[in-house]
Amino acid sequence: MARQPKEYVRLPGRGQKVVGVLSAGRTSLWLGNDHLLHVSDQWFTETYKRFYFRDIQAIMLRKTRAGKIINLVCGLVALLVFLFPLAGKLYWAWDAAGMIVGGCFGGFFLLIVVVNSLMGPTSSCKLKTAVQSEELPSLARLWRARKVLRILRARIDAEQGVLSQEEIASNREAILAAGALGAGNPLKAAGPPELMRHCDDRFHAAMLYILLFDGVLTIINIFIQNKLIDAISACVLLGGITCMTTALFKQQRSDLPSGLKNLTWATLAYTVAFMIVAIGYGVILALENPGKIGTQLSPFDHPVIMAMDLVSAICDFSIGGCGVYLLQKFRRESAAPDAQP
Amino acid sequence: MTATLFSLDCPKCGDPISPTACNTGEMTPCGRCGTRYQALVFPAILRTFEMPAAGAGVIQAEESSCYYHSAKKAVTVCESCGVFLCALCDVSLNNQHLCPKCIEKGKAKGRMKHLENQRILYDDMALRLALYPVLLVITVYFTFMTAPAALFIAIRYWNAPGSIIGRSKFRMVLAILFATLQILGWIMLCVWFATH
Repeated sequence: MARQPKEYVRLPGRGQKVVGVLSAGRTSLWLGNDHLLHVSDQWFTETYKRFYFRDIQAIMLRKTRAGKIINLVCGLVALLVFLFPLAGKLYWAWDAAGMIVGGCFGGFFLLIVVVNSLMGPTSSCKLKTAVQSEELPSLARLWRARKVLRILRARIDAEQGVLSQEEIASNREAILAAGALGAGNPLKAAGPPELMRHCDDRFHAAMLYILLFDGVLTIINIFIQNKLIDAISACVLLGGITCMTTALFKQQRSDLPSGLKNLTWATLAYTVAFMIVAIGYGVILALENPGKIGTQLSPFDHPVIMAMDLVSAICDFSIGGCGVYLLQKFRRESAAPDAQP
Repeated sequence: MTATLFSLDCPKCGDPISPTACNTGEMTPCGRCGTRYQALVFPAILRTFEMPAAGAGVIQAEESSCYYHSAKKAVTVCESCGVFLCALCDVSLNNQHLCPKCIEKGKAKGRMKHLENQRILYDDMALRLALYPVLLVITVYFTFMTAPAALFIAIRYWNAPGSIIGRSKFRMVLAILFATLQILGWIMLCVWFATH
């Protein structure tokens, strides 16, 4: 007896559907006769969404930075985990067992970096029909997404025909003349597209000026070790973190230039990395010099403290300086259209 | 102001995309945020919506009326139950003309595979119930409850429809095997305690 052909063929890729920070099940894509089946598998339940080839309007593929961020975070953790047993060996004469354990943990994070790098750049893919726009989490790697899109495009083209660039250009005027999509499509008739929110950049400004002030404090701290300076530094750090967090929230889906947005993220990465290194080294110093607070130690006697202070000051000035320049530029550009008659 | 073409926006910043960026086969940077994206656009995007007909015309003498709207003219027949339908009641699904009631019934009874949007995977349930307590080691003592439960689910739902994507009964078989082994283990343990 002839075996019945399978109704669905699996497409490459498997992803996690994420809601907030929690996983809402694994997802995969399956190719049917006339539709694409999106399967979301959570515990004992499978949820299906069908996208008929004749209804698919567009597919958007975007390169993301998730892979780079994973590499950065895991690389940093690996570096710290490798450095910790090394410091243990140097300062507390740890035996080989400590080194091996540290090495294993560091190796694990390094392995994540290697595997993640080998898997290639990350991507985000969205499929659009007339009534919905669906994220396809299983296409989270660029090479895999392109492979799947080639298959899908062939099927959709076979169902709908091919829309050439010339057709897009020629149809553009007709569509716009008919009142964009509003004339025929009740779902799009609501009005003009949503404009991007204007960003309240005061928190960005505060964060950047705090960074510059912190740079000045760090330079002073190299020459003068004072409890008042320590207290001011702590307040500045707290204020900076508050402003940075608020700025990160405020800049989402705003008209702020991408350079300034990236700079805010860079500030976060720098702050987190510096705090981890400073706290780690602070613990080592506290164990080495019982009874003395880390900041009371002169950087001229401890080259690591000197290096950390200098790196911190350079980062503060470079990020703060660039940020203030970009912010002023953004403010000038925002004000320019208002000045025109 | 940029006119919206196809209502397609940059997936990151929401800026309307240029038509020249569509179907190029390459990644194009967004003019606003610089995010690199590839846009594939298909002819369906040019399709205009047709508002559903409100049930064409009032019936004239000797014309058939809709089963659900006696004042409306019938335009087609339900291919499942055979009742006459007006344009409003006619639902075209999978190249078939059906009435809303048949669709509702078909969905409820699981006869219309194309309308199913969720299924419970009993094979997964049985297998996890048989395996997880053993794999987690400390929960191994619970197997005296979980193994019979796994066996019950595997037998009770042997014929229940599984995943729509077509999976074999392998998980069910494996669940029965593991659950049976665990039950046998408990029986042997009881016998050993009874004899010693």
